[in-house]
Amino acid sequence: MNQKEQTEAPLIHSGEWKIHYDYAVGETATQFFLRLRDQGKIAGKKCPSCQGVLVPPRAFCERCFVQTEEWVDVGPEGTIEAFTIVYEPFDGLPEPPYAVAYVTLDGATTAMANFVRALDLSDPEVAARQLAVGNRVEAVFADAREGAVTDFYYRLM
Amino acid sequence: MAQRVGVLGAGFTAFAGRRDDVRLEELIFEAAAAALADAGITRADIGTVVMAGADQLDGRSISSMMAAGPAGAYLKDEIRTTSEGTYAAILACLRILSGEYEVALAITWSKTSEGPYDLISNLSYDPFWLRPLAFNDIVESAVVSSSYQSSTTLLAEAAPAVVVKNRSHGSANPRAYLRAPVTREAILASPYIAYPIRKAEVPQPCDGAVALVLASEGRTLEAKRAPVWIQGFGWGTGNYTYGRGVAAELPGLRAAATKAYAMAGVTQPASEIDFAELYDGTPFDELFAYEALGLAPQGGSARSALQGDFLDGGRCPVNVSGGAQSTNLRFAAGMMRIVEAYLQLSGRAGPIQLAAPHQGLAQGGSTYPAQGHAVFVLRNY
Ligand SMILES: [Zn+2]
Repeated sequence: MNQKEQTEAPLIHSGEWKIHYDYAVGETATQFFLRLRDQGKIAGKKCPSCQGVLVPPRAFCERCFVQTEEWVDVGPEGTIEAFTIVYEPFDGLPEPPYAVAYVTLDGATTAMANFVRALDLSDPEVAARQLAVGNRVEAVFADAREGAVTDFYYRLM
Repeated sequence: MAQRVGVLGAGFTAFAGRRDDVRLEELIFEAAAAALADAGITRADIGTVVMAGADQLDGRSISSMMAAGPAGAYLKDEIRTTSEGTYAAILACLRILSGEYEVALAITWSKTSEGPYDLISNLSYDPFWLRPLAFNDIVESAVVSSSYQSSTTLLAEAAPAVVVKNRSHGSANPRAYLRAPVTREAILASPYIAYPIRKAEVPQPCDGAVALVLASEGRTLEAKRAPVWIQGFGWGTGNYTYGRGVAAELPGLRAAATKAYAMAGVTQPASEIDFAELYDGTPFDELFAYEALGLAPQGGSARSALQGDFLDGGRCPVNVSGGAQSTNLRFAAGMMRIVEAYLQLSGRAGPIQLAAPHQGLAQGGSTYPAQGHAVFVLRNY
């Protein structure tokens, strides 16, 4: 058979990966998620070397390369560092529009991302001005919490 | 550095939105065979094969098992990195400079038409903090863009100008996948995909593979063609966690450029680099790279772009090939930047050939989370 005899389009065989993982959250993030779930509080871990308060908490400071030990409560208010508003659907991801922002919670050194809710996103330019870097937000905690990052969201103050 | 690495040749496949006519290993063979032919050598001349591929994009686990043969590695030294495509060139340069190998084939590929790219991109994030927030490469680029703190009004003007520039450049490049220019009006009329990135600022992806044949200084000088050198290279990893410093400053790219410039002896990049091929998956990637690479003053990327510094014919033409905006090879887009820079310095860029360039820069970077970057300084003297 030569190429010219092939009249149909090349075949496609479909395949899927369905692989289940059980990710270990680790003791540090477990403490964070339990405090978030049971007390509605956000806490970071302090680096004994640079004194940075890492939120989300990390068991180590990658810059100083030492273990962190002390827990410090942060927020619930904070300052927007970066944001976006998603307007187009992505495969397998939530229905748009939705907004996410990185926020440095008061008392924290690093910023933590989460959804920004309770905000009219219908006009991108208007919504973007409200989410501008430097604007203030507060963490709002869900009534029913499960010990996950989505147990809280940010709301403009 | 006493020794330097030379480029013996380059090869790449036909680019298409879907390359259903070939399976992945055939795509890889197409690029590897083209690179060997361009270099005027055979598989027997290769000492080591360095591949860059990502299993989750390929839809095959440990895809090097399948890819090694068509890349030319049967019974040869072979290694793969899963970092972005240009890391194959980084690793190949290091292996040549080790003195163990005379000739290396560096190859990478991107056949993302076969899987759900947006979802795969989301899976690259950690399962605890960012994956549940629906992050992917476009969302990340948008977030990074919002953190830019200098002349934000100009930035909004400059982003469509970068797309217009690159698509206009690409319309003259026979190697480009998207050959139709776009207008500023069409870009501004397109909806936001993730603010501040508009849909028309994210190019349609294409399938393809890209390869380079690299060689020791001695072996390069034996070749018939006038030599093109990788005079300096560097790579750097920024932070994954956010919020200590401004993301748009691209600390990983700055670290990579510092190393590459030091190795090449470049001290004033804005005046010493004749042209650059930069990663431009979104126009913001390119804009922030100007500053990180020292091609524009700090805080001056947008102004430099708007005054035409980076146009073909400008002070330092950027992406005269059309960049990833015209050939969005995703994982392999950075490697194609090296190939286009090489062709310019080899005098073989065809209709888009610049007049007598001597030193160019090529950059690749991980599309998400803008963390790893590689920089190459190429020279033809
Ligand atoms: Zn520290």
